[in-house]
Amino acid sequence: MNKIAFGQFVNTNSIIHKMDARIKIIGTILFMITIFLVPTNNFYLLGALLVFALILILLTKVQLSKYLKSLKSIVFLLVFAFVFQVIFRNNGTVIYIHYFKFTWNNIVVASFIAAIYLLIRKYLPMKFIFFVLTTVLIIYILGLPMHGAILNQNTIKLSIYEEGLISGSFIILRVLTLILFTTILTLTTKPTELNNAIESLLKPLELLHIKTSVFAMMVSIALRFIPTLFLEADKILKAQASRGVDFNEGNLKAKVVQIISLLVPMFVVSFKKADELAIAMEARGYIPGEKRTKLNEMKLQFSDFIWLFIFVGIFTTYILLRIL
Amino acid sequence: MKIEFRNVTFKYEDDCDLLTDISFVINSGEMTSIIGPNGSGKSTITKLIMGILTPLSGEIYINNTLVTEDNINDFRCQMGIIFQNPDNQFVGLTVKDDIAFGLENKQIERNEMITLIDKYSKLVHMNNFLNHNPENLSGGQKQRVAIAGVLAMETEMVIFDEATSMLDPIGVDEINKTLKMLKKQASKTIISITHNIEEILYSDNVLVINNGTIVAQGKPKDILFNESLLNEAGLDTIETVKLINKLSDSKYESIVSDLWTLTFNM
Repeated sequence: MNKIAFGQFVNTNSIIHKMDARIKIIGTILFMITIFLVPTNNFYLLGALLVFALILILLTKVQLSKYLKSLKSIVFLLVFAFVFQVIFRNNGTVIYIHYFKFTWNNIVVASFIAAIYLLIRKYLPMKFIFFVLTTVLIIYILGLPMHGAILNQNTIKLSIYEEGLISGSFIILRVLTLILFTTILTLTTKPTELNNAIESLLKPLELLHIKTSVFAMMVSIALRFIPTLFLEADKILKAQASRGVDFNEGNLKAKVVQIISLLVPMFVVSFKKADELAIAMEARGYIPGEKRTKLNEMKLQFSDFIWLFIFVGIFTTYILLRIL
Repeated sequence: MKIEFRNVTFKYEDDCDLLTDISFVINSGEMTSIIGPNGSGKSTITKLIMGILTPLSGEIYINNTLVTEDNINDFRCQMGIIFQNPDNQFVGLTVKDDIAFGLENKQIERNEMITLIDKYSKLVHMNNFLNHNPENLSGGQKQRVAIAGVLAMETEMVIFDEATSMLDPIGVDEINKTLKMLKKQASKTIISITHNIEEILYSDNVLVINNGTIVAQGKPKDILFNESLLNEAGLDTIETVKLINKLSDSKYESIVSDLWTLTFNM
């Protein structure tokens, strides 16, 4: 834990990187809305957005693996949503019916496979694929017309409807496009730039006497101190471990005690750090809410206006398509 | 910036005296070291100078003006301070941002800011690290950034409040070199608070503090030779001085004089 990179910024200095961060944020928000403006099960309109996202991805010159990595974390969610859509949609045309037959033979074989999977799971590469394969195998075996005493008189029928498959795929595609757009933003924008952009975009709120500069300073200090606090937590963990606290073992009660033994010193350290930082900031003339000049000034280039024009253009097209 | 303490006493409520009847003068443009063991009241002096604490009795004069609650802010913006922990004073997300922090507060124009950042990052030899994150810097480097941040504000006085106490030997060396260079190049009033005896070598004036009183005051050479006084204050003189004391026999005269030159002209 000696190097914690906050944010996923990858510098390739592409035209997307050079785009003003404010335009990127506005673009991402517009696309998020656009994705949800696409009428349900209209694959053409959603596909067009996905193609646009892919074009932007090519323009960023960031390796594709970085994008796949960000998708990896939501694979479970996607599969879950898909399976639910497939199981619980029951209108339209039936394309496949699966009968679960709970005979003793089936149950024993299926449990045996499940047990083997659970035993060797630790050593498997690509765990997810094996999980899916095992699940499919178990479902298949449970459908086999084997002989043996029937546990339950009724077999359970699972019907898969065309509707379910279509809406399941649509949901996957929708979330996928959404994640790709936000990943483009986070991969091509430094946290500092993001923060400055948010401060700049929130500026109109100052008319309502909300001090956005204080908010931006808070965010920037939080960004600055996350890695420092991680290191601090690591130090405390090691200090506690060297005095015999085992963070991996123990029942729930022991776990709670362990977490408290981490949290209490963490709080003390954080408050001390905050106190010292406040004095240091004050000593350097910081007065919250007071006017300050900025080293990182954001200036819109001509190309930024072109991008904004494209983003707003796509947004309005989708609104018009929705209305008409 | 001239600072004068006249019979200053300070204590927290219901506590024993932290500082008792302290009087000293720090002249403008001079470098003064305040040395003493932990808990002797060194940092309390900084807090009194900065106006974070107010004395129980006695007066503090800055530039011959009595410091009051009304005028402390005018003086405070002429003081820069470098604290112990380099991590807890790094505000910016990059070196550049951090040096700019004080300048932004002073509402300095962007172009001037860039010139100042360039000038002072070069002075502390951090100009190749301007876009680095604090996590990628060593303690000494972080502390040098803090120094650049304070110097860029171009204050009349800079206080080093045990700025080397949390650093490794290389870091300590880096900061001491910067201090020495500062003393040569800039005509600033520098106050260095320390418990490391070697750091007093290149100052103009030394105050030794123990148990809240000034036990000695003078040139570094005189202080270093007063071994018994330093021992009483829980400090120890430097090895070279011990060696010189041992060699103070007429036949080693030339070696002694060489050692002197080595120690004080380093």
